[in-house]
Amino acid sequence: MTDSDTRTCPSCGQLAPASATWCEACGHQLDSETKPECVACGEPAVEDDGYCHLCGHRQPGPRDHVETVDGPVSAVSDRGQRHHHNEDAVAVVSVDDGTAVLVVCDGVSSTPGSARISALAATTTAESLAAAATDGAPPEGMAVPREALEAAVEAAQAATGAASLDMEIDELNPPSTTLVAAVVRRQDRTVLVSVVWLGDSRAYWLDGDDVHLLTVDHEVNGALTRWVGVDAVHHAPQVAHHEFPRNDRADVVVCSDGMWRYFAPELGEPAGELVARLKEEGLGGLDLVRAMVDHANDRGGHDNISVAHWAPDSSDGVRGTTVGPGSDRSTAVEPSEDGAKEAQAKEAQAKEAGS
Amino acid sequence: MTDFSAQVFQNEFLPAGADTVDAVVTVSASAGASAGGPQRGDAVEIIVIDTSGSMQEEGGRKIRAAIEATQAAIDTIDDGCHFAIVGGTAGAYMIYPNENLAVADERTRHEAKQAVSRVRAQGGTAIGSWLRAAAYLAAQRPGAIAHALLLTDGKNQNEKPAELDARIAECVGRFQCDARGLGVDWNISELRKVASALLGTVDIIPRPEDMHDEFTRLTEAAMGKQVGSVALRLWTPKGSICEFVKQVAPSLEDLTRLGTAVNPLTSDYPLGAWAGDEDRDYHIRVRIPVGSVGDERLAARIMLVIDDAEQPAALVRAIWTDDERLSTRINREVAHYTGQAELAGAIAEGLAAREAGDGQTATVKLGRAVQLAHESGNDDTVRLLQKVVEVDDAASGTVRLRRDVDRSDEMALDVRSTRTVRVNRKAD
Repeated sequence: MTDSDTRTCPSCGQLAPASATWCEACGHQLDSETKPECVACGEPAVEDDGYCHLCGHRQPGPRDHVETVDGPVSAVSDRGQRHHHNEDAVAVVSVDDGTAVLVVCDGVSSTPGSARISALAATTTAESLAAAATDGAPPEGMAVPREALEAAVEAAQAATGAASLDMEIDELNPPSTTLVAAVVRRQDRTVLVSVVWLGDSRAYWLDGDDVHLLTVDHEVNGALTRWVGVDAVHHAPQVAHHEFPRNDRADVVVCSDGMWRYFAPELGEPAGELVARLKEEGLGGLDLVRAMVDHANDRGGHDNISVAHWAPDSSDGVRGTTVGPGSDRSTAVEPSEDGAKEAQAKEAQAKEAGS
Repeated sequence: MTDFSAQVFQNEFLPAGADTVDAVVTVSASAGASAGGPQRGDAVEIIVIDTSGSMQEEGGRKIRAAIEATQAAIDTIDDGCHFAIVGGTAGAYMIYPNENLAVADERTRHEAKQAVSRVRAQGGTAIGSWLRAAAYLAAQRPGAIAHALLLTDGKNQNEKPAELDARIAECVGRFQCDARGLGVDWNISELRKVASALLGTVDIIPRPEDMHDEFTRLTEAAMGKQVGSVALRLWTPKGSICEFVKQVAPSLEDLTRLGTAVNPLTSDYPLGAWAGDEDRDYHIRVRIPVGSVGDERLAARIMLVIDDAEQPAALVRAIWTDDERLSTRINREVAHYTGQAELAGAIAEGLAAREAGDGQTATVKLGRAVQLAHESGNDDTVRLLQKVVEVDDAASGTVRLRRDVDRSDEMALDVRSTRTVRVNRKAD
């Protein structure tokens, strides 16, 4: 915006000769340290408090765009185009060569403090499941036992509950978040995916056009019916165990609704087609996840966008492994009777899912 | 030391495409804990009393009351304070001391009271010349907290309006002035102009016997000022327009035109002298370039300038959202003071219509004023309105104009229409 022989005073916005030591308009010392450039107006005028001193634009915060990579497992969480803050959080762990944990939490934006709660829930869940995944051989057909999945959510509830105690929160509307975690374990002939979730964040098994949604949204008419938060300590997590034949084309995707809403054909592109197309373009790992988030942002980015991804059979020399005809032995495990009733009762006080 | 702080009340969320940001800023002064007692700078107190011929009317009752009230005021001037008593007619003259300022002590206060007792009322009224005298006296103590109390009982007969305006302009920033009109024969707009420009108050003193308490109260308040010069420094982003800066409590005072540019994005608005323990509210409206949904922009950065030292105070923000639950929230403070401004406007329009013989408009406007004053708990204004209208139902604003209204009641309503009540922050 400025010619090479002039510069803009970062204090008042008036043009001054490049050689000037002081701004003639306001007396600001011009050759003091250069301030960072504003992302909105491009002028080097960003103050220590994060606002541009010329156009007033708030500069992006550290949570506005987060990228997490652990080995071949990648995740991106992005503010999107329409929301003021990013309340989503992601966590991924590459436990060993054939095992990974992927977690996405979608903090509810209408409840103050949710950004902190979602981050805490994601990391607590990921740590707990990574520990469980290394804790001996799991029962057959499960990446980790059901108890481990429930214990991880319990740990997340406890950690967020403790954090809520020393936060300034709206008592009637305490901070809350969705939670979805997938533990993926590659075996000789199959891949096991154990999923635990509360709310409307999702997990997918993608094999080209063959799309398996591994979760069921906990929402009624746009309102969440289960979530994580101090007002949801009795919400029972739902658990499901899936087993798929090994396939070098397959991807596990865990994401928030800011991503999956653009899987609807009328809004974006179905998940299988999108991922297959991006992989054909040569993208993989973090680049693939970034491209998925860009896709959502290009379609309007109406919500925070979070995606975690692992291609369990493509990254470490098992590419091209012949996969037998083995069946997709998915078994969804509903929570106990009491838990289901509890969840139904809570639907009466369900909060809006428009996070 | 007096500590200053500011707090912002606003709804920072704007719907897509909106460009107007409203905020109420509460500025608070508090005496710091370190102070062993008031550590005030130099102070100047100037009392200007009208000694024109009209003060001799009512058998000399007015001038006798003015003398007695001025003597009482002199008794409240602190030791060490510089002071002077000025008489006003078609010109200004020194009552005490003979020239310049006296330093208050037992002896000078006694001499001043003696001098005041010898005042005789005769001659005209030229308020501009009185102000010029006060400005000259205040200039004898540069940097002091200078305050004048100005009393008149009549209109500014011996000066053209333009002359008064020019004299007022010369006084801006030199001293603060509380202007008082005695009886009902003075002109509200003349004294309001003086008080607004010189950051003071204007009021009616209906009866001579009310002067004693009012003079004492005003002089005591002046003695309580700890900080002479405070300014609200307002930064707004490039491309923005500051629509207004108004004091909204304790009374309405539009400061917009008093702003002076510090640089193209920043202006200073004078807040005058402050006591060691005082709160005032300001309503700021800024129009800024529209951002995209999800963007946050600073709409204003508020700083306080205390005796030429700038301190950061508060931020006014704008966040564009398509969440209607957020953008339609009504901020209580902004709504309250918008209502108080509407109340003052309804009173002014109602009284003007009544004056012009338009009873229908007067009834509607004063009825609305009763309703607004009632809703906001502005009981003093309700009482003033009741002397001009018969209130059938305050909640709905149903009123009838009274036939025989005391002129002083009408003037009191007019001159006090800008007094506000503060929003009750404990209500919920």
